Amino acid sequence: MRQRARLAMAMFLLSEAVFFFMLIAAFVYFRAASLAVAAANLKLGATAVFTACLLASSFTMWRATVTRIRAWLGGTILLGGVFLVGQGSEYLRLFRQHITISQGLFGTTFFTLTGLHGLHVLVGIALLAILLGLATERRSVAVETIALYWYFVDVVWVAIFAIVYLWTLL
Amino acid sequence: MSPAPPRSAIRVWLSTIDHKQIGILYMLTALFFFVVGGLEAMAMRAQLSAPNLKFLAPETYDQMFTMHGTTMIFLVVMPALVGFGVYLVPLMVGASDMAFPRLNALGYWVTLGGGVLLYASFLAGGAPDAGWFSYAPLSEKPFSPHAGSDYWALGLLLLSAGSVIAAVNFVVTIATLRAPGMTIRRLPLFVWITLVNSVLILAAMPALNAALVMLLSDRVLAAHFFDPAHGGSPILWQHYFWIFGHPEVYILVLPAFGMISEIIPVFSRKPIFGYGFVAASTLAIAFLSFGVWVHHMFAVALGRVFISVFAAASMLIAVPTGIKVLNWAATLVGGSIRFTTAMLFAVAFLLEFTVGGLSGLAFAVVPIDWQLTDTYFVVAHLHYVAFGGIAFALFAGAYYWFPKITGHLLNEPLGRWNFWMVVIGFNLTFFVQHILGLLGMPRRVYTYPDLPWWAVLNQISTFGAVILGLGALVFVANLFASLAFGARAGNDPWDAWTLEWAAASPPPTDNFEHVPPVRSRRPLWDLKHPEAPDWATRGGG
Repeated sequence: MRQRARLAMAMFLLSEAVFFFMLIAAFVYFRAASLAVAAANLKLGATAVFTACLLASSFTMWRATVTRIRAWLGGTILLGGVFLVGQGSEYLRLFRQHITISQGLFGTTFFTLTGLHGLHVLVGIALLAILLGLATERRSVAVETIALYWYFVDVVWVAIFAIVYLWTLL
Repeated sequence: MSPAPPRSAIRVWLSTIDHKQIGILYMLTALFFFVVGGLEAMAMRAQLSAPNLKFLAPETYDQMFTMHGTTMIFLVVMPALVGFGVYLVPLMVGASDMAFPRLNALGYWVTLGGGVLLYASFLAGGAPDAGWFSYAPLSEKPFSPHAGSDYWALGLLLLSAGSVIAAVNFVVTIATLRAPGMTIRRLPLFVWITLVNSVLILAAMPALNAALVMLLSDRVLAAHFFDPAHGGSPILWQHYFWIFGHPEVYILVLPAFGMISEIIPVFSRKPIFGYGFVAASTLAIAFLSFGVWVHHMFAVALGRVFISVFAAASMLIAVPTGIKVLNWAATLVGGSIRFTTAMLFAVAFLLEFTVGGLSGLAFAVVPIDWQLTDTYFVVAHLHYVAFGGIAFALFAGAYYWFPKITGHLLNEPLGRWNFWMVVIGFNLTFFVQHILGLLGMPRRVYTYPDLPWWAVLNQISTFGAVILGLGALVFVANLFASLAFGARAGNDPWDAWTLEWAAASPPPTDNFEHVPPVRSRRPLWDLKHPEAPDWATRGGG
């Protein structure tokens, strides 16, 4: 069962990888037209902190697969939640500057890409919350499988952070 | 005990996680939408039966060709191929079910939901009318203000999710549930091709999903991905759609290749010629299919070098496809051929598909493409591949596997009527469309002026469509008549070689009492011919 579940998740993540590749490619396709707005409005500092939280959550996720201690799962949910709060505050700041999904190409590409990623984090948190409620002996295969998803979502964020933030601001 | 009350039977089908029942649900869904999509085609042929007709309003005609294309691709061929796969793959590898039976059921119900959503558009202010590839900016809010295109995008998202779910399940099933001895080099070719096809689905469908999400963002949230008025790019839609769309063509045709690769050898009484080449050329097609999408866009000014690369790749992909045709033809040579209806359709597939392949090759030549793009030559080409290829293979598959699925043989005399009416009707309908295209008749226009030859060629096409439609009805009638009155099939009516024929017809819930030992590509041959088993005479593969 373990092998089957992991293979199934790997195949699903292959399709997810193509999905995010296409969205990132769309961001890059419109980069020249949206660069000025992006450079004037994105902030590196806060987002770097939230990025660190998300990366730390991969560590706690990994600990959860190795130790089977519930606290590591709870920690992962917490760190994922902090990331989403951070993303929400970033959105709010941009909305106050009248940058929305319909304002221009930057808004269109930025909110679609980061929004769909945020949705994946949210789904991950929901899955982990379900795992928290499961009995330990039923958990291990599920935790290992969901962990693959969580690592994947983190890796996608690293790519988004590098292309959307670092490439624009550094 | 009296038979279970009807409500209970409905509950069994609604809640089933048995791969055979889910496979049948997929196939019945495909059959239902085949009739619906066929009626849409008949409406178009009626409108085109004479110049300057007003049988359909222009808007209605646009909805008809959009829904016909979308239906036939996403609600007929995809569910039919997935249905055959879901039914046959576990049997062919000697398993009792798919790796994830409940996921299997989810995939079916998501697919059905997508179909319902797509057709709900008729009740919500009008069906989508921007064509099955829904080019921007036509599909954008200012030009398609009613909800049809939203239903189209949401329906396709669900259908695409259903395909991904099925593909994941296929990969895991084939990777982990094979009977002892069934190495990757001994897989039946249908299974081999389903495996490659599943990976192709996993890699291609998300490109469509990304494009659909972007289109919905534009339409619902007023984003600007494909909106040139705000700096967006309609050409980006074309790229994204065809990055999905051309692999999709192979996603549709590869399982048909798999069926043909099972049927032709059995009715030629010979193992397939060049198993390794058929398998490897499938990989080559899957790989190359991601490098040819721009041949749908030669009329866009993209730069000479750029399109030349894609023109070359499009010619290159004809090579592995040609290898397959050669393998099937070589399997026929010297065989003792039995022309059952299944075999008739398989041989007709070879001929019609080759015509479609050759006219496709013509489109890889950029100047020919420039001359013929968006004419009826395209319509003729794609139907030679889609109907003459894929649908003929599905007919062949239906005649071949119906006895396994139901325990009854399909009626052969009705099968002959079905075959000849479909072959004659199909060629009458679509062959003349090559000429109409060369004469310059544009596709997707609801009527045409009375130019020399246009009326008579269109009349031939419509006349052919009527015969084709009646031939398809004979098929549907044969299914129901044979289910009720058909001769008992027995476990192995064709004297075939793959594992599904070792199970009862129809197979019990767990499929096999004993899975025969697998020591070659033809385990049932080995069982029936202990004096000359494949593993001794052919090295087992």
